[in-house]
Amino acid sequence: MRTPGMLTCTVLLIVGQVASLRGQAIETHNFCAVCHSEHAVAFRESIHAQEQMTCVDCHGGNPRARAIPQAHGNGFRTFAHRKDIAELCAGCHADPIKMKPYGIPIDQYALYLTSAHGQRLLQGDNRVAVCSDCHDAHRVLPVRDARSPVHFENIPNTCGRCHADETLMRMYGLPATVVDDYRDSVHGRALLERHNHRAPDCARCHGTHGAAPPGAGNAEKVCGQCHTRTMAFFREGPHGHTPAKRTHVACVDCHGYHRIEPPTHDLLTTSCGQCHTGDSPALRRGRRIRQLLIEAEAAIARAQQAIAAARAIPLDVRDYASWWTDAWTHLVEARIVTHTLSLDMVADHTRSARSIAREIQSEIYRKIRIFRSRYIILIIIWFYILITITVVHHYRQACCRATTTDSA
Amino acid sequence: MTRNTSPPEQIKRRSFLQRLLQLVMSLWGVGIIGVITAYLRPPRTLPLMGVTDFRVGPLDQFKKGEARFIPHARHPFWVIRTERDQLIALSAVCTHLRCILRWDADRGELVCPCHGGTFDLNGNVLIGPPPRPLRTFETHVRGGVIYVRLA
Amino acid sequence: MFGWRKWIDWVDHRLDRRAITALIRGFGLPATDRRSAVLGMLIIILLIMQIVTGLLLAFYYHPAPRAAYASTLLIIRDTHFGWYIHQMHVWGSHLLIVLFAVHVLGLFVYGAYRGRGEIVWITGVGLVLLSMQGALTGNLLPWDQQAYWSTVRTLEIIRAIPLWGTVLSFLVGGLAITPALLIRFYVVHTIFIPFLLWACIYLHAAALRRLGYGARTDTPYGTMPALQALIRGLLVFGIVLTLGTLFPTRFIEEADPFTTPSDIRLPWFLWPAYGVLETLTHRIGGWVLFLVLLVLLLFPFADRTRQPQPPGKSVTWGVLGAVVIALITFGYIGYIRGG
Repeated sequence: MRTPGMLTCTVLLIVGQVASLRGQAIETHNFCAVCHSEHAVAFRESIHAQEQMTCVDCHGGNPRARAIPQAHGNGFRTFAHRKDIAELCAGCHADPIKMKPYGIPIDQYALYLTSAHGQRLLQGDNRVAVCSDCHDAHRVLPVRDARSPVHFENIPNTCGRCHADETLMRMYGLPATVVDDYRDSVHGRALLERHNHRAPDCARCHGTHGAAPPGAGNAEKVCGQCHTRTMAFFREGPHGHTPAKRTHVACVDCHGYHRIEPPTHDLLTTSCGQCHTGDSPALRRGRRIRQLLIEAEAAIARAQQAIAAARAIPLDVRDYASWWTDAWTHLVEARIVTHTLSLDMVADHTRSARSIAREIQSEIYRKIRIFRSRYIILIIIWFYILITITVVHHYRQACCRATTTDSA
Repeated sequence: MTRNTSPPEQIKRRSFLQRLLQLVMSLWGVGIIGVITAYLRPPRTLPLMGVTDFRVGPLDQFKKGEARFIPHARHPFWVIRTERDQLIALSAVCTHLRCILRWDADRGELVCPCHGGTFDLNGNVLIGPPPRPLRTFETHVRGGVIYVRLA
Repeated sequence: MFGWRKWIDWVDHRLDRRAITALIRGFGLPATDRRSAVLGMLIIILLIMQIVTGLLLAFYYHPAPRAAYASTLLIIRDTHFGWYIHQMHVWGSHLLIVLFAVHVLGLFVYGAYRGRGEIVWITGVGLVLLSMQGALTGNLLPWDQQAYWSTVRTLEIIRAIPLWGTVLSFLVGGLAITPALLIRFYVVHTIFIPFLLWACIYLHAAALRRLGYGARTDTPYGTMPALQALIRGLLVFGIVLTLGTLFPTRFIEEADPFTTPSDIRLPWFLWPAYGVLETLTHRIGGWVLFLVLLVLLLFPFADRTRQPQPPGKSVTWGVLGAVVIALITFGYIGYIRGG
């Protein structure tokens, strides 16, 4: 205990020993944790630590040295150039033999180098994302772990760390609104509010490691991966195979990129007008389809009202309610089929929806009317009963005064 | 209420009242018979609460000439949509020894694999040991969906 | 008119028309103007109405657990006039019980149980009990929550009554509500009880005739009783229809054997019995009810007077008063104890 430094080191040593005794993979003689305790704690939770990796495997250095100069010797790396991080990770994660026991893909680095992030990194830009920015340098957790920054619901936040930063994005000429747009969209709400992990996050459309904006001509391929039927119908339609000289149309032209809202029939007026002008047949057809959808929706709403009115009486109408879902399904089908822009196909479904809804409505209202008319029927019948009794009474008087014998 | 009416008037009055009474009563009779007849006519819609109707599927997913076997637990049956756009539902249980029939698409007949009994689309026995024709089930299409009544 | 006579003569030439009229005359029901007879006529009319409406209902009803509910819903909601027919049947059954009970009281007041009136009395009381059984078995048939759970509680009451309860539970196939029980309820309700009812009425009329009250079976009925019956029939029809329309029975959701709703009531005529069972314990109460039934059925045998005559005023009022007070008291107890 000759210097305060030595005293400090010794105290920290003891503390570090106690701390390191709690560790799993960190050897009992690993003194990195003495000074870098918060990194050590973070690392302990990671999957690398579970696989018996240590600080030395990435950083080098001498874990048994108690003095800093020795500890930071022996090939110690600091990653001042972030390009080195990617190369380091790829050292294992692109090695088929090392990754074989885990069954993890080994193309991340290759994909990364094709991405916008990778390209700029190669050109010397030190601000773009590298592996540790998304996966965290020390606390690397599997995607399915809810604490991981690359877990489904955390991805918008992770990407947003840069892509929602206005100052940073201005330097690249990129908008900083995309994350907020996404949060307000159908997909964002599904993922972040309803915790539906099948909803696409940033990585699903843009790619994970090969992140690039899907260019024009590629966008609809992304959408079609989930919205398969809609895509199939779209390809059947006039927009699905536009001749080369015309502008290519894709999903994003009507539905938007990030702020995708629940589609309504109004899209048929707002988006068609972007390209089609005046009184073109295309615009007219769009209006016609919109009209069909509106009529079907109105019929279904009326049938729903009828069902509610009957329920209020109360009349048991559960069978009508389940039949109503048939009509509703037809409407949903009609909306999907709208992408063919074929009047016949849409009309087919809207017709079925309307006819079911109309039948439901008329039958239920008929039953309600009959139910409500029961007082009138009662009064009419009593009227007739009294007439009959009067006639019988008079007849009895007339006929039985004349006869002398009645049976007892 | 005594009145000194002469017998002929009395008789006329009585017979008038008699006819009136008969008229009134026959109106009651007609009414009651009318109500009973209206009541006994089966309602246009039976509740689709799954008591007897079996939902086969949408009509436009059923091609002409196609036959589908439905393995219903109590009444397995074949549904056939003929080329002439008729919907036929026949029991799939052979009336001989209750084997399940197979559909021969080329000949348009139901054939029993056990002893070769063959039935036509009306359920009648064409060849083989089955003693009785097949039971037919009523089909109807509602909202574009085929239903079979397996009462 | 309409060649009435001609048609009758045409038939009569081929078939002794008295064979047909004998069916009615053979019953030999009294057609006097005494109060009891009027009540009796009303009862017959109501019974015929019950049979007609019940038969019409049976054209659609399906006695299996889920199908019972669906078919009742079909009758009430989808058929033409089915709702009216159903309501008339239900209200008719309640009215029938009341009329039977009042009629029996009349039997008591007129002393018809005296002398050789034992059979008249027993068949009369038997008719009251049968009509209550009819209402009970019919109660389960719609298979909604009210039907199911009130029957569960009814079966508990039946279980409490010794001997007679055992016989009943054997007849209906146990005391748990199963599809088998439902079928037996249905058969008892539609076939067994109507048959017994008409048999009891037939014997009742025969006994009355022996005592000198009945109509003579060899002379034709005059027009008077037929017209009387017509008027009364129309009035009964109107009253039952009115009750059914203004105070319809509620048909709620389908029976769920795993959910007991909180507002289930026993049928009203079981409230006194339930009150007795709640006041005394079920065991003692059960025996009490059994003894009451026995006394009710057999007390004419204890009576030694030779001629049917009204019992003394004090006896009449005393007994009537006691019965009414007991019914009201125990009925009230049964009602507030969640009957």
